[in-house]
Amino acid sequence: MRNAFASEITAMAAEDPRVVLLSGDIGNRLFDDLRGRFPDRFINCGVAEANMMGVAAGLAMSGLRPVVYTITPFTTTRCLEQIRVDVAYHEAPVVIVGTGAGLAYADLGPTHHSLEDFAIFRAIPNLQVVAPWDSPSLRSLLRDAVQSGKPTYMRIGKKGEKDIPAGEPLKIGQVRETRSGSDVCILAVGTIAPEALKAADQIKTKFGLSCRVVLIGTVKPFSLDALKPLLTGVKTVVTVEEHAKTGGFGEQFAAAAAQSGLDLPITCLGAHDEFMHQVGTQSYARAFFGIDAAAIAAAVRSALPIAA
Amino acid sequence: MTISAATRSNRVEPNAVRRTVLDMLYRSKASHLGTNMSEIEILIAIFGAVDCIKIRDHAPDRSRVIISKGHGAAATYATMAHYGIIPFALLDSYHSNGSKLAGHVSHGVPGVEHSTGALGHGLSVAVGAAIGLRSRGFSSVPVFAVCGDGEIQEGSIWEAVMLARHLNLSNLVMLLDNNRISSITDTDKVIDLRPIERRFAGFDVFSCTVDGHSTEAVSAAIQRSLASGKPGVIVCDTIKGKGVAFAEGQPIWHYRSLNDDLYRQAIDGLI
Repeated sequence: MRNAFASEITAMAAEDPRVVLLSGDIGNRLFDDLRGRFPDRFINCGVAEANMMGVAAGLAMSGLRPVVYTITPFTTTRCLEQIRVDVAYHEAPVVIVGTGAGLAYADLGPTHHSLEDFAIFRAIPNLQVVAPWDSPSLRSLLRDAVQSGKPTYMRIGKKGEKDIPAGEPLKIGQVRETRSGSDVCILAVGTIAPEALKAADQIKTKFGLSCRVVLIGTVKPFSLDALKPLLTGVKTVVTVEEHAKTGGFGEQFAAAAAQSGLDLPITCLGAHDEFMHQVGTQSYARAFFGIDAAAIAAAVRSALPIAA
Repeated sequence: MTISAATRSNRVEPNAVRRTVLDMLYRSKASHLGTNMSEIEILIAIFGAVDCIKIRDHAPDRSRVIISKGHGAAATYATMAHYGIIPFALLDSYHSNGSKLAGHVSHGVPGVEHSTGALGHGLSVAVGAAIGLRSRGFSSVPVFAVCGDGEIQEGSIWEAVMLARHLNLSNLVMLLDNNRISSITDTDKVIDLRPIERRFAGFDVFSCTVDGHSTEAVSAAIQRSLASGKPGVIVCDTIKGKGVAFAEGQPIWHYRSLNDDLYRQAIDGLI
């Protein structure tokens, strides 16, 4: 996904002279094309993320469209007050991109994990929160975010994510039904999408149940109405995200569903309340936190005893 | 009571602004008297160096004035009123229910560039504005940031200074209101940064130290900085509570508000 980000931001810079990329000394060779073609439109702000976010707000104030890029925890919690005050409060058109979100850097340890960003940013007014799942969705959401002129946080994966056919270019607020099914609905947020698709296969094979898989690319703004038509007829809903259960998409969905009187069992899968002290691959970490395909299948089995 | 309007002229008198600030603080029973009194000549020098009409009209090539020490709001609003950027009538609502004039500067007030109050933000935003202006072809348009000497304990200030020098943002001028007192005590007792000018000089920016209660000295330093070819830091030595005898140099006047007697005493004490 980060390669797609680099090529898309370069294309956007070529089209729109207002687009400028800020990096916190991250992106080795990734932005060589952008830097070569538009040397003034790439600013390496150094290992100083709090300042970088304030600089982005100042650039936005001058009529530019800054896009800030670094590893997720350093473009979120490291500079949270600058995001809250200088960007969100001022409705500055800054797009904040966190690379290697969720557990993409599982083997680098919890300093590089990002399992709190949805929760934090959901609570901050004016911010859009988006989570593409592959390169095409990243490209379309990035464009939409810059064009929207609204402060936007986008968490992206790392590299090697497989594209998932999902039709028309994705807009902020839209969801995509990527697999049809009638018994179970899985709502998968951002980069966890492949686990949901794998789970759908397992549930079909093991339990004989068909799964509808809906990919969620936007955490905020949230609309239950956009999802309601996709929930009709199913016997249970499972949400899954590479994020803490606390404050995540699932919690938001379940609260909205309860308040609207939706009569469906809902299971929300997300990381439990713990820093991971073991080293492992992203797959290993997903299993550790119970958000991999096996965990999704197990959740369906628990929700529907008949499936056993 | 209405906020006193001084005679409008090209030259704004510091004590006229001080009277306006005292009126605002007395009416609202608001705090931060000390910090508002120390920065007044700095603000007069800055707004005197820029085209205030462009600021009022939000012109793309307006000078950017960012008050990073956001608790200096009353003096900022008062100075802006004296320069005709906002109407004096607006000051009547300072710090009151439903008003946009909070106790920290807010961009909800027309002409205020950036909301602050959380310290250590304004200089970074000013750096971004300076880069942005340069990239839009307005490289001679100055960007000012007013910071407090307590505020520079925030690490983001030094991050911003490093990048400003690296990019050689010669249109950027930081003015440090060096009133030597932060929230509860003397800044020297909290973290001793003396001699402050040398700290900044170490980053190879233009730096100088001036009497922060001399509008002429601050104005001249601004011009020297803008002509230096480097981003500048002007250390303005000031007195917290300047002009109000019972508040000068007293940390408690970061918090205390004026009663009837003290207000009268303060007004009468202004020469």
